[in-house]
Amino acid sequence: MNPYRRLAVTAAVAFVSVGAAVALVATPQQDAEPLAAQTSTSPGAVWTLDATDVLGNPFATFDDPVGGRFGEVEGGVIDADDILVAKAGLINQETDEFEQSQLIGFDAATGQVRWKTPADGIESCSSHVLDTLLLCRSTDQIVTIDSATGTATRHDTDWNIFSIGTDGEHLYVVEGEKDGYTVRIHRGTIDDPDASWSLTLDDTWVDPYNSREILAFAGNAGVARFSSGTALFDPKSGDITDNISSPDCARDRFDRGDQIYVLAGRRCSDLFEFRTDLVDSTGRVVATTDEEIYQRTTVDAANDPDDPVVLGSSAFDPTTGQKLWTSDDGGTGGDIAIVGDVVLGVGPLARNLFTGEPAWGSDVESLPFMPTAVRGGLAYVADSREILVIEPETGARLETIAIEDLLGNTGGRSERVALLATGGGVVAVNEKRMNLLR
Amino acid sequence: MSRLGPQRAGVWADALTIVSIVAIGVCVAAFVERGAPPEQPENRAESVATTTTHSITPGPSAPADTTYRTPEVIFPTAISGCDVVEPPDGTSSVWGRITTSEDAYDNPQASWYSGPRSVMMTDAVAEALPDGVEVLFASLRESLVFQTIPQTSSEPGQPQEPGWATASAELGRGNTLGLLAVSVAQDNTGVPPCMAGSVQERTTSADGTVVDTNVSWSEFGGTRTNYRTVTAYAPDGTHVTATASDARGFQSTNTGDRDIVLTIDELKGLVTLQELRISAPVPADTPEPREGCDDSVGLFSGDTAIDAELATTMNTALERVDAGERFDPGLNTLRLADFETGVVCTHVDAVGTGADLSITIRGGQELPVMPDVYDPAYQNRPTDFETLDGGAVLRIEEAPYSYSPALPEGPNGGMRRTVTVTYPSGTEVEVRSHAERPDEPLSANTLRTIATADGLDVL
Repeated sequence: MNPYRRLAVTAAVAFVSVGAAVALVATPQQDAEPLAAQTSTSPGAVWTLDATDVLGNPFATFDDPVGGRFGEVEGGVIDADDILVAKAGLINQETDEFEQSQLIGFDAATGQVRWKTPADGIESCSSHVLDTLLLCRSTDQIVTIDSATGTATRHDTDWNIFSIGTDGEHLYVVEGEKDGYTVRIHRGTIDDPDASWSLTLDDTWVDPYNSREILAFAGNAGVARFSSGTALFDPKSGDITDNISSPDCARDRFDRGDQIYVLAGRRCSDLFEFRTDLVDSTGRVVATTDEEIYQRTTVDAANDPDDPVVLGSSAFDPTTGQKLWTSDDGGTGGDIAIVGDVVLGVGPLARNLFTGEPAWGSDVESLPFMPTAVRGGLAYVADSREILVIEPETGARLETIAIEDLLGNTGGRSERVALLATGGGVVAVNEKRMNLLR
Repeated sequence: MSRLGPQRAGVWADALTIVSIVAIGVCVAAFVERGAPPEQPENRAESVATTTTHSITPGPSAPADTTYRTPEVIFPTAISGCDVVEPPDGTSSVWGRITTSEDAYDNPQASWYSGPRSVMMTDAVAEALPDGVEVLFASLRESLVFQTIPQTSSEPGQPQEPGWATASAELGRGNTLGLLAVSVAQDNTGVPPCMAGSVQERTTSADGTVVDTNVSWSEFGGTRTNYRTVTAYAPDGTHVTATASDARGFQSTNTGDRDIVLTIDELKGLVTLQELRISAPVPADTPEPREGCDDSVGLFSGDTAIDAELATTMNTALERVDAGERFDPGLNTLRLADFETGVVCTHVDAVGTGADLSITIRGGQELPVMPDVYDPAYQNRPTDFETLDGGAVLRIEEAPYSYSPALPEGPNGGMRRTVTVTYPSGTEVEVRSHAERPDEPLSANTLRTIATADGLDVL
């Protein structure tokens, strides 16, 4: 078929899709609900929230209020206990701007919209709340939003803010000159954001298009992930404990208990140096291997913080650094996931985290992807067509939820979902719809 | 923000490509069955005793009558011109072919055939039609123009079936109309034996050409088709079959009394045309066949059947248009699009510009609306969108393209410019021009003049 006719066919499909989208919204539910129409719950979900219903516009979509958490999948929520917060708006197809955007607070249990607040000028928010306050930022303002009411309060600063975060007690701000090579981190309160301390990192920069959250906290450790490298710091004192930057490189990080682990490649640009270390929040190397490992931990949900960690094809005791077992058939690198006593992604199927023995029967179907969320000891895996709920000990597929059912008619938009574990359940995130799974 | 990504778009396009191919295949099969039953005369030799039932469209509706019947064959019997008569072989009847390629006149499976040869054959048949017989309004495909020979694949170890070049049309003669199909193939299996029920008379001419005639009927689902068929087997391996029947043409919008409009002698005159011999020389200056006006099969069908009278009305309107260009042929050459009854189109050259022009007109179209700026469809919005006096909507679309990787020589791309006018009545006039660099398609103003011509809003 010639390209022209292909084009015509594709155009026809687009036309049909748009027609379907218009049909979808031609019959809005005109309830007394003042804020948003309630989206009817999709099969397999506890509740469903459609961006169209939230904004009352057929072309509305969700965006991640934190930013950049799910690769190419748009949408996402911030977990503020009883309230989940999402961001919805309209993509101007001419300018690519996200317009008329609103932060939406909705009931985590029912999906009912509780408040809407214009998100104009709000660049990104922290994935964690400070008490009941959402922490967001504009270029030079700290914007707090009360998760119960949606009331926004803006606090001017003299900084060019890159990111904002919290360990649950204090406010942290990352700032620096635009296109500069010095970045500062401050700890303080909302009214006095550098009240506790300020630290300065030289030869450090943040990509101007960075949309990811920079700060993460676990126990007594803080991690700042910059475009130039990853710094470990003590949140109490503001001291740098380690800085994994050129010539080294940080390839991944995950947290477990009070620790944040960073996968550090040593002398990454050196063609003849292959060492990879697993570094804990204090900068201590807990495991090392003379291989170039590009492993990514999609989820770590070990039962106990002292349970083994995995680097490449081997497992190590995180306290003693002792190598516990090595898989002889496992490829090194790639994605892994630790769920309870089972590690996925090292060799075929699954292995016991302590012994390296195969955990699943040989007739168990292997997983299409690594799980990206764990809830109640069960692993959630998003395929392109369905979401699988897996019992990690056996590989049994306890539940299979069709993504098509969850999303309904997306009007030609993406049908990919990402998974995000929240207190109330796992949210299946998509640019058109969010569904809570439990 | 993610949109309909190229991968998904590709998947959609592929899925619809398959749908289109199947649709074409179905059309071909239907055409073959209706238009050229006697291409397989040896297969229609059995009485009702071997009635074949085949379900074509299993569906929830009441099962359609799909009984296939042919006259009872008397055997043994004598056939004029045959020393030996074989019994009917009793095999069954319907064949169709699904083709999965875009067919071209240069088919390596039929090296005797070519575009210029098809033109010579088409012209010869047109010339040989008796006085008072005219080719009725239809698509180019159904206007007695020899078509491409579909590429076929055969089972391993099985001989390749000969490919037929076929021209068919509805012919009018006086107050009646009927179908004619002429098919030519290279077949080196020689002259088949005389079979009872398939041949009623066999003659052999001085040059060794054997000509079989048969007059019979077939019945499908209670609808009887009467036909006369003549087949010539020439010494150079040419097999030519000409069949005249009272069947309805494929996708015909013509009405009237249907009958067999050509006599056996007139059919004999066609099959013995020297230009239809596969070894006939093709004059060096014979042109390539005229391009049809390509339509996107089925997807954009109009819902108003267009007959000759409506087409004439529109052609008259187009004849009056002065677009400031010279066209070859003229704009007043609308005919049905292939496989369609509700779409007329034409494809012409704008002389001396390097650009071509297609006009496509159909009815039953919805008035387009400009997509919302937040609608992903906005990405594919027309270059220009305006509402004309009287409520018609005019769209201008420009689709430049480049070859990637660039071709070693020749143009590295071009552009299609389309002006579409949709009337509140549902009539839609699409005027499209295409040229490859450095030539430019005709200007939007020129296309606009044609698309907005008075007298086209008749569907």
